Amino acid sequence: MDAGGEIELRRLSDALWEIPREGGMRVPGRVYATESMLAQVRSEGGLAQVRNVAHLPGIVRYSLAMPDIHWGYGFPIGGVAATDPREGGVVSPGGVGYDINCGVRTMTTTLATADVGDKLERMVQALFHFIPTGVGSSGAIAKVSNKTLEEVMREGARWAVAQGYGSEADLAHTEEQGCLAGADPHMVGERARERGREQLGTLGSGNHFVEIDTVEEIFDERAAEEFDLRRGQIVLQIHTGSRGFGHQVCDDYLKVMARAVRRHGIDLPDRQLACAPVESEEGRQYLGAMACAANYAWANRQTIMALAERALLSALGVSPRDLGLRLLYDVCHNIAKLEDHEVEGRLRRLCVHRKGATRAYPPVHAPNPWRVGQPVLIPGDMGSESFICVGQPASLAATFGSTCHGAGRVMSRREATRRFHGRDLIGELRERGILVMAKERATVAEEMTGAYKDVSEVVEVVHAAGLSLKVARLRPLAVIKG
Amino acid sequence: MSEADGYAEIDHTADLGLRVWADTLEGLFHQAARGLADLLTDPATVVPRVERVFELRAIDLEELLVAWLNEILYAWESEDLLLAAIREMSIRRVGDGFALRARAAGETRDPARHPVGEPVKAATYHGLRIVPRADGRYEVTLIFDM
Repeated sequence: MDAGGEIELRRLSDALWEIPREGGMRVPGRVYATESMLAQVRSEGGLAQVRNVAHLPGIVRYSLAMPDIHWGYGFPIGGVAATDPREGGVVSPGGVGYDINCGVRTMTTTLATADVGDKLERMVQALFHFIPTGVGSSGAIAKVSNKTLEEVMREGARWAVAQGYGSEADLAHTEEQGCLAGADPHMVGERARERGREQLGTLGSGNHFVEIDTVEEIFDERAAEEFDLRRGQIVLQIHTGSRGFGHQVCDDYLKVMARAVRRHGIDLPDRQLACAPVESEEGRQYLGAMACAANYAWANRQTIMALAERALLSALGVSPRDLGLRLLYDVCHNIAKLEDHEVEGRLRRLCVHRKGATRAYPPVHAPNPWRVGQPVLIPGDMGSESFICVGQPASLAATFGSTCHGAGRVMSRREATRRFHGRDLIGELRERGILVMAKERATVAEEMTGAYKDVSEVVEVVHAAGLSLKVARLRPLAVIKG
Repeated sequence: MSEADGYAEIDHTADLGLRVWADTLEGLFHQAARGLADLLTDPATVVPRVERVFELRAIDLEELLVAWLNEILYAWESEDLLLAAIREMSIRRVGDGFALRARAAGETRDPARHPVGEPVKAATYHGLRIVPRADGRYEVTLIFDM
């Protein structure tokens, strides 16, 4: 693997770097990062990946990387690339990732942190009890029929609402209203369906979580007011995606794309970038299947939100009105979407890949109902703070309306496990005021703070660049994990 | 499979990987599956009670290896079935691609006997190239999605 040690970088500003176009690159690369972040990115091959993505047919303007960039399959995590279908632009499953529509949803409550106090233990136990976690976890919803699964694929979060999980109002507070257009269940294979039927309403493993947070700091009073955030308030975050269903769709289409690359004569520096023109049979098939997986993920997060509400109502013995759980927003950070963007003064419909990147639309940019801009949800790693930000006009001009998505891993799982070996991590977190319940204790070491970049540094970079601005900082009180 | 065949775990920032080496293609596929089983649990604790037969096709060897490992992961995810003993492995050319036939044995996971390993989700194509070295042996680096 090319570590990218030789890659030339030109400094454009304090935290923006350009990789000049060379060889087969069709556009330059652009990386948002501080100088100290770059050394790590370079050593693990992330810069080489930004350069590789610049080879994609039809790529427009730049191959972009957000400051949480780290090595991924083909595309780096934190990568953004837009292609123009009318100029042979491609769609690449590697630019979306295995966990299609992995994303975050944040809910506000009317609870104050002072009210929770000694009830936190009961709350986290109830969450753990109500929400299935772990690798192949199943069972929140009885295994669904093929027909039901097709409804989930077509309708997304709306399906879950129709089943009594949450309410219609939630849909307006979900990216794409929780349903990506163009879903075509015929493009989804039998094995993906088999995995999908079992896992609806489950959290999964790895870095996925449900977290209870307290709002620790407000940076932007006006945006906080519109988002209904205030200091000392209890909020909930859910981070999960399309589970085995999305994984299987990705795996199936990597094979389809390997054939498409041959058929369309596309020359790529890395096989994991396999792709096909958006306007080709393979491209349309993948986008149809990917939308099914995206919708599955939205149905999943919608369902888990409702399960979390039930858990908290049961743990606290209060009415829904007393809990006051409301969806602030739901964003996806692994997706390819057809969006209209202005490029060189002309509005063009582009296929925007965001892999570990979040849409960050500015105020009143359709379909965004907020006066201040779209909420951007940026979770930290386990045990560290998270941020709620707001999308800004600069993101449209510079990054196809995108910003960062999280912290970005800097330490391998094994290294984290070694470093934290023998330590009572759950006990240490408890001493710091964070309750953790995990199905597998090993996950706790792998996901421990220190295994990731400091999320606040990441958020500062996009804040300074004006892609998204800080609204609030959240401190975790309790986490459940797979 | 010969004495010189084997695998070793490699560290990777984002995920986990395996370096796998063998005298033959069949040995390579065999060792890769053993290495995967070693990530999932301790293979020594797995008793071969049930057997599965796999027949797969692919356009090239890289796709065949990823497909083979993802079969083992699918059995694990969908049935809790740990396949740790590879009993047969044959790979041949068919048309302009390759076909694999394998038999693998194992048992349903018993939390009391099988230690919890890594939450491996998929084998990836990242940096994967299967070509014989000058001495005819094979060596690959496999990265798993976690």
